[in-house]
Amino acid sequence: MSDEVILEIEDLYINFYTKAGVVRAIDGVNMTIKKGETFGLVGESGCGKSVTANSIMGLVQSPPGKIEKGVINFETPKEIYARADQKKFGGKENPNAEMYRKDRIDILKLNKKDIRLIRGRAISMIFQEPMSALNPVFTAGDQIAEIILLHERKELAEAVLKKLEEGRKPAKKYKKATKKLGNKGEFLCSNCNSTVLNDQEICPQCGSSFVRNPGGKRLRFGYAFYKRVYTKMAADPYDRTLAIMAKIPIVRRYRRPMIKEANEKALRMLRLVRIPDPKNVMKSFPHELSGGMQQRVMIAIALSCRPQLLIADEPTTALDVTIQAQILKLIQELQEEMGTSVLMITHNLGIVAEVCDRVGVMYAGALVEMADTVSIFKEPLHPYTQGLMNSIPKVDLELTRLETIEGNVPNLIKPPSGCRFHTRCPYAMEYCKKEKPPLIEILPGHSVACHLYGGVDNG
Amino acid sequence: MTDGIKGNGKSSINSTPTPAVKPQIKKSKPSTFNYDRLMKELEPRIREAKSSFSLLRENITAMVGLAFVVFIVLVAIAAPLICPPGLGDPMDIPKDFKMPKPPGAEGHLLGTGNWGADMLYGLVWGARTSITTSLFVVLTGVIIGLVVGSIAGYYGGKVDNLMMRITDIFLSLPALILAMAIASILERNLQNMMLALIIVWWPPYARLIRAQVMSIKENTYVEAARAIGVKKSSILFKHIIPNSISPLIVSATMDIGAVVLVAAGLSYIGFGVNTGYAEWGRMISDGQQWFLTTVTYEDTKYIASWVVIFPGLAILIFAMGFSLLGDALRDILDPRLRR
Repeated sequence: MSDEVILEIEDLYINFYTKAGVVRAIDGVNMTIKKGETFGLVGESGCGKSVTANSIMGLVQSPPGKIEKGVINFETPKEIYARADQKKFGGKENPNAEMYRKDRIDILKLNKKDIRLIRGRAISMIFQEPMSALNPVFTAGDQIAEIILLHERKELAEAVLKKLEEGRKPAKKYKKATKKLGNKGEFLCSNCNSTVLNDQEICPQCGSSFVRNPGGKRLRFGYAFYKRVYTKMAADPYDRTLAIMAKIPIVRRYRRPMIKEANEKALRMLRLVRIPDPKNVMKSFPHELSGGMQQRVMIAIALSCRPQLLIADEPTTALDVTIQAQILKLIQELQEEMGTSVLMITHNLGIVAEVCDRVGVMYAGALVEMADTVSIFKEPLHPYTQGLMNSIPKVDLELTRLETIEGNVPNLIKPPSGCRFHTRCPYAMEYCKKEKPPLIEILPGHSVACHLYGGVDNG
Repeated sequence: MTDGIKGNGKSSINSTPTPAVKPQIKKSKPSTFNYDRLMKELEPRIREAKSSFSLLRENITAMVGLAFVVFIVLVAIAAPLICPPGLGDPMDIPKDFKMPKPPGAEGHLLGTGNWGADMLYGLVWGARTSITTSLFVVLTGVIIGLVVGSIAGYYGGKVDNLMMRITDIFLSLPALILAMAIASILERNLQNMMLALIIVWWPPYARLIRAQVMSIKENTYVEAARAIGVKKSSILFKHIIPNSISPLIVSATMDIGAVVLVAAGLSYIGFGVNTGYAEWGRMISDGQQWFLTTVTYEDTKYIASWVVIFPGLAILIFAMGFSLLGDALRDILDPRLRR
């Protein structure tokens, strides 16, 4: 883990315009996620955790949602960087070109087309309920291959071209030999005319070796066509002609070798998420898989393009406890393997303690405390965090009653003035009702938004 | 020469010292058309199809419906064999311009109708008319309804409003009256009748698919598709429509029978095809003047009810067959029942 920040949310305000009134769902959130770390976002239901996550992906539905103000800075992915020099259809310069050339982009300013280059590629997401997050009409393999086909066309095209070149010459020799013999499992050695089986690499009579490539053999037909198409694809994966060709029946079959490559990669991804019997799972529909398997498939989908940031939106809530541990461990292992940062959204403090490096606590649309996991559990500063910690059931303490935080979550249509927690806060002062506390770094690496800590220096 | 090599090739394999060679031959893949690989790729689809068919087999009414449908389709295909057409338009029923003859009369297995038109000929060739009309009308209606409904349901807002108000205009008029109005201003032939039917047929489909799309698009997997960067239009066509299409398939299958009923109705009241055309509704319309009248054939008196009963039965079998099949499809395509 380094100190390099990959995501930075500054002063984010999101409102939802509903019939009952304006829901001030996100009210000034500031947070940073560092490279390679796991950042936990905890809070009650409806406090805006998921909305924050969705805004990072540019997935806030509008209407009714509207991002009022704020900046979400993200490390510029190379795809976006390349977009800066691409001309639009009429030869016009991309209006965001200036921003794309910098090393940070504001996700909220991206247009619809460009944000799709980020979704799934640079930032991807795991959902709460794997059963409903997988499309019931496609097999697991299809769904993993879909994201690979969307984002990794360049890599796929290169792989196809490689196979094309590899498989060309031996394939001809192979076919000729097969014809001569008229028997499908064998062919004649071109050196000594003795029978050689397909699987044998070396002629048993004269010892000459054969290079055979079944993938290449398949591509021998229409070599020139494939070569041309895939050279084009490798140069520009979002080529317009190819995109149109993909929509025409029969012509769209040019994608087949690519789809085959994508399926192979999907299989590798399933192996990576340690699914038993991946070949069968590839061909299974979501309803044929168990909850844990489904979540593994979701993780495979999310990680198949090696994202810089993985958002896990309560990934274990719908699973039973033993599977929860497995899934969390898997996410951690893959994170270390790929160097991905993880934004773990949860309301389970146990998960936070287990997997997170740093934690942000949210309350009613605002981040109230942000610190590393150890210090947040050892010395929670914000009264709300303290309340949360006290409400964890502890086995070693003999308490008759579990402590709770008094009062209810405020209505976000008419949020409390000043600090949103003051209605439930045991230490509330008169000043808390007037002024909203800013998030201030009190101790090194430990920020809190509360007037109790230096927020009211002069008054 | 080649023969010799073939023979030698076999024997040489057998004589190779390594015994592990034999299973390898079986395993090795054929070179040109790879049947195994194709089957492997299609395997999940075939598995689904098999389970669907086993559900169909369990359902007796569905099998009856399927039998009716298959029967009528076979009859329509074999029409030139059962009743060889004359020199003119095969869709015109040959007539002998005499009084209706009862079933079993010489050369007329099911008797004759108005102007002495052969009933069997009319029924057999009428099966062709019915199948082409109903399939064409329903398929075109489904396509129009699918495009209009899914776009309206998915994009919502102004697009939805505009498209649905246009649909409402068509829906606000009674279907048969509208079809009559359209058919009456056009020339009287089969094509125009189909056109009139299509115009009244698509709006309910558009409504149906719109409602489906509106509910499906709220699913998490649609959000998940957005989260991996799928285009908005691709989400509609790849993720939403395949999930929302099954009620439309059921509805369309049941409607195939209904189209025949409405087409027969149109023909009956005189807005469909011309007199003498092999179409079941037209045959009833032509025969109604003979219905319940007494005709004399070979000195025996008959009440000429067959002129109406046979085409009526044909319509019944056709409509019921598709309706039963559609009912069963509703069960088969219902994900809650199979999953």
